[in-house]
Amino acid sequence: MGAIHLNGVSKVYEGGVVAVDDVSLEVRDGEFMVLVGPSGCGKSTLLRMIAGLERVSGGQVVIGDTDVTHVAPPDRDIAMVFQNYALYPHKTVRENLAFGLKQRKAPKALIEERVADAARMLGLEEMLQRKPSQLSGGQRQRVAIGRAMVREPSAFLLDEPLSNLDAKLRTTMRGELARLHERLGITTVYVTHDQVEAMTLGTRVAVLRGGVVQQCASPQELYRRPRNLFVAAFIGSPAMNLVEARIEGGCVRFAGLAIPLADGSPLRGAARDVILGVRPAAFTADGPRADEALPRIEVVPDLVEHLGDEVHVSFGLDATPVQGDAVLAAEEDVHATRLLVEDAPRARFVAVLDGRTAPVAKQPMSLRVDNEQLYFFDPASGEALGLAAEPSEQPAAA
Amino acid sequence: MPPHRRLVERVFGETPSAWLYLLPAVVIIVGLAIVPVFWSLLLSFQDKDPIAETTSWAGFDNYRELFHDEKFRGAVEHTITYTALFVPLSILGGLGLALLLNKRVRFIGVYRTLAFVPVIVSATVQGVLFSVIFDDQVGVANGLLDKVGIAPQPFFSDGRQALLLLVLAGLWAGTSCISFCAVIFLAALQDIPRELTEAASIDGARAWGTFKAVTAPALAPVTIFLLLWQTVQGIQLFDLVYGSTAGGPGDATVVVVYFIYRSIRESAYGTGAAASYIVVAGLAAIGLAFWLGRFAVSRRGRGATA
Amino acid sequence: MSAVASRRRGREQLDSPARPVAAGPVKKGWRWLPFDPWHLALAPATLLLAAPLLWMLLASFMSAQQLYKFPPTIIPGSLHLDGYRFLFEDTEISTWFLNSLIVSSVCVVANVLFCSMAGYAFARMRFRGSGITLGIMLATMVIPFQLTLIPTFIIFEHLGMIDTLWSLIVPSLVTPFGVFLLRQFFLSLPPELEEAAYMDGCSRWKILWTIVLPLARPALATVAVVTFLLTWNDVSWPAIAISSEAHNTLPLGVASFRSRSEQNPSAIMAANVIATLPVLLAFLAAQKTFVRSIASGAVKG
Ligand SMILES: Nc1ncnc2c1ncn2[C@@H]1O[C@H](COP(=O)(O)OP(=O)(O)OP(=O)(O)O)[C@@H](O)[C@H]1O
Ligand SMILES: [Mg+2]
Repeated sequence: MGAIHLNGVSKVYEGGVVAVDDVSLEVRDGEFMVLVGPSGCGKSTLLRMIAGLERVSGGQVVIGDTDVTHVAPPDRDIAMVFQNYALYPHKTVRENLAFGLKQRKAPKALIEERVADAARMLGLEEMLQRKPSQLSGGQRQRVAIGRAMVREPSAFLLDEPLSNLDAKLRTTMRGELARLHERLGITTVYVTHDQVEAMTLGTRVAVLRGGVVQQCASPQELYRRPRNLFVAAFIGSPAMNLVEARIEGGCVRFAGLAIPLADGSPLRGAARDVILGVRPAAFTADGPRADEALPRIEVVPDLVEHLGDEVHVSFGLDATPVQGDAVLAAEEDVHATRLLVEDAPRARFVAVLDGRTAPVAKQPMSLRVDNEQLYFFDPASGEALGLAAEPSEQPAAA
Repeated sequence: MPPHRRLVERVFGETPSAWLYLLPAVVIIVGLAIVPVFWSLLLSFQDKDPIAETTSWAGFDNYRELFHDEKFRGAVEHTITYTALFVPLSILGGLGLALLLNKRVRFIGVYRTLAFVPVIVSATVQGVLFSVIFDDQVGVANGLLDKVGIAPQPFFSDGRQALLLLVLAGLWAGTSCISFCAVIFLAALQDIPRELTEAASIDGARAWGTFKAVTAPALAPVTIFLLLWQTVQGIQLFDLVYGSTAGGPGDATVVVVYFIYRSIRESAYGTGAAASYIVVAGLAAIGLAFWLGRFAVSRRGRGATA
Repeated sequence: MSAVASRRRGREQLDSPARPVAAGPVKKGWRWLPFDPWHLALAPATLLLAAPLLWMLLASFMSAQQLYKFPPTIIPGSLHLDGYRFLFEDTEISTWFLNSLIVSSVCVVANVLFCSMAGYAFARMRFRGSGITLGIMLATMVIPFQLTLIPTFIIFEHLGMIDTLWSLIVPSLVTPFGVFLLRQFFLSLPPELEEAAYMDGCSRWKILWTIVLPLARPALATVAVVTFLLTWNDVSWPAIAISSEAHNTLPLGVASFRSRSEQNPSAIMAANVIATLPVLLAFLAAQKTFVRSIASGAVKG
């Protein structure tokens, strides 16, 4: 029984910083839940409250069937992996792995067995006698995970466990983590500020901002149906293109362009100001293979980046860019393609095109826009518009 | 049901156990540092009759007596003379030595060992050692002078020379000697990134220019610390005197702490306490002057840039 | 762990064995020398500083006649052990030595233990009054000792401990310097290590012993060295607290012995050697720690 329930959990630090604000979240048994959000949004705090390392200022933490709000961390039957691994530098790998069980006075044979199992599973058998300082970053990471594993807790908590690794190793370890979770099936709460990690690992992903959960859903759902501007801007790389626009007469108009709305859109009849969001992948280069039915726009790319499989084309449009708090907060972490020298406030779009197209900077070209993939947000509240027609969330009970 | 946090812990947090951790430290430090400071003040206003074992309120009598006591005035004078010579000489010597020891030459490790060894010699040993070397009858020092054709000196049997010899002994060994200053300076010198001095010398600065531009500013905080530290050490001088002259000849080398030591031996607690408070007042005045001086310097610095 | 490592690296150059480094551009006019001209300043300066000590060592093995000769015989023709023989036969030097050893070692152990506990509480525990208590402790570091001398004497007199080794031990059981130094060190350790141990089921006390202290060895060594140096060499307080010969520490014994036996300089020098030898050996064995300790005691003070 490793489900975790957070009921209206809050954390107010001394000095009045509200790090976590009334968060209610359910992590189902065996689920891989990712908490993601920009720096300082309260992810670590939330995780540490589940662990019991921070006291809650309000609300309730339930693990399995037990209210553990006032239970000390060692008695919560959870294990945590820290960002800097927190391996005991003066102990060997074997001692590091065994330490938790030893503290719990587990029988020697059991400790031996569990340590051996974990070492085998993580490929650490050769290194059991070494000290952490004699290991590479990836190996340390494995030991940290192994240390959590041997205790066979009812839940794992991981706080940015991959952020100290280089990009390549991170990708490998990501895969290993996913496989490990599949094998062990232990409830996992995973904190990261990297949305790629979040999308690839999570059964479900909770997006946090300012201590508040913005949306908690499967990666697909987050990507396809962001509930608000922040989630839309935060999830996806390159980030969603956002621009102020107006819906009128069945078309969305911006920068002198008019794109007809998709047939089924509930906003067809509306006439109002909106914020328009277009995923970079919603563009395709106009050409013989393009879908003739899609609306077409003419642009002059000012930056073309060939990445092999795909080409990123960025271009300016004569429209006001969206600079609301939500978007700025999200952009902090998203590596949006930007020009060093930015001219007048123009909206900047990025299109991700097929790698076989060969656009050239400063040469006019035409793009097709998939109008099924347009997103609309209320300019004032940032809430997504036109979602109501579709089923709002997956059924809650698993 | 997993055990819940103990009730005490939930109500008081870690306060009770933290105070258990602190207990030994707090007992010793409060009992033997904080309480005595105030007690001392109280004592300095009291008069104790050692025979009748009665204590009476003396007001400022002890202080007044001290101001007219030739011996105490002498002690203050000797302390000031010692400090005034000892502080600048030890700091300058230490700086010079540290600059030498910072050279990258062969055997520098051996040189450093030789130069640092005096720090660990106790002042008593040093006092004893110097009183033997500078014995006016049979000391090696007079033998040396004799060889160069200088008349034998009275050394420790002459009051003035005895005090100067104490300065020399203090500079040579003990926890505040030249070597001690050199250790501190050298640590600070080695904290200066090499690139900095190299950059300066590439910019065409000569040795003196590099010193002024890079080294001196980096050593400034340490120098201020040493100035304060050495002054305090100078004013607290005791063990050298205890090991060598025991205050003599006459009372020529009685310094303030030695004076207090004698008053304790004579059970004149009031006098001793008053004497120590006078010294502390002196120290406080020096500290204040220091602080004001730094304040003025930093103001002037800001004025110059403005 | 990286904090520990970098700290260790911190002052390493200060006392690392001589690295033969190509001397920089040698100044004009010194080129004819087969060695770096700085040796001309370094060698005499450092030898001069160490000279009294060396002479002390030699003199302890000389007879009176050799001692008074000038120039002093550098290598005594024969070893005269008279000084040492006299010391061990006619004085209580072995008692003094033992007294010093007891006082210093008890104080070293106590300081390491108590300063760790207090430093840890200040570094990691959140409790009422922590700020002000730490402030007061720091303030006591600058109290000149003569201010506390007389009341301390009276207190120990009342406790019936004056003129016993207890009166030397108790005041040095904890030093604010050690508390502060260890607190700073503990703060530099990553807190996650302790949190991990906490979640593994360790109590505070156990965390301190199994995780924190093993990692704090360099800082503990510093505290031990400074405590040893100060208690071994201290004479101001012992001179006041101790009056009977049997409770003398070495420096006290040496000083009292000197005033009684002007006529036996080689014995005096032998006593000096014995008083210095333990610290000297410790210094030579752990020069790195010593130098770092002295520097840290001051630079951070
Ligand atoms: N001990 C503390 N006292 C006061 N404020 C704190 C404390 N710890 C964290 N905070 C504040 O709480 C907020 C949330 O911090 P938290 O560490 O949970 O962020 P995070 O989402 O994990 O960020 P990051 O991605 O940078 O790790 C921040 O504004 C932070 O400044
Ligand atoms: Mg964090």
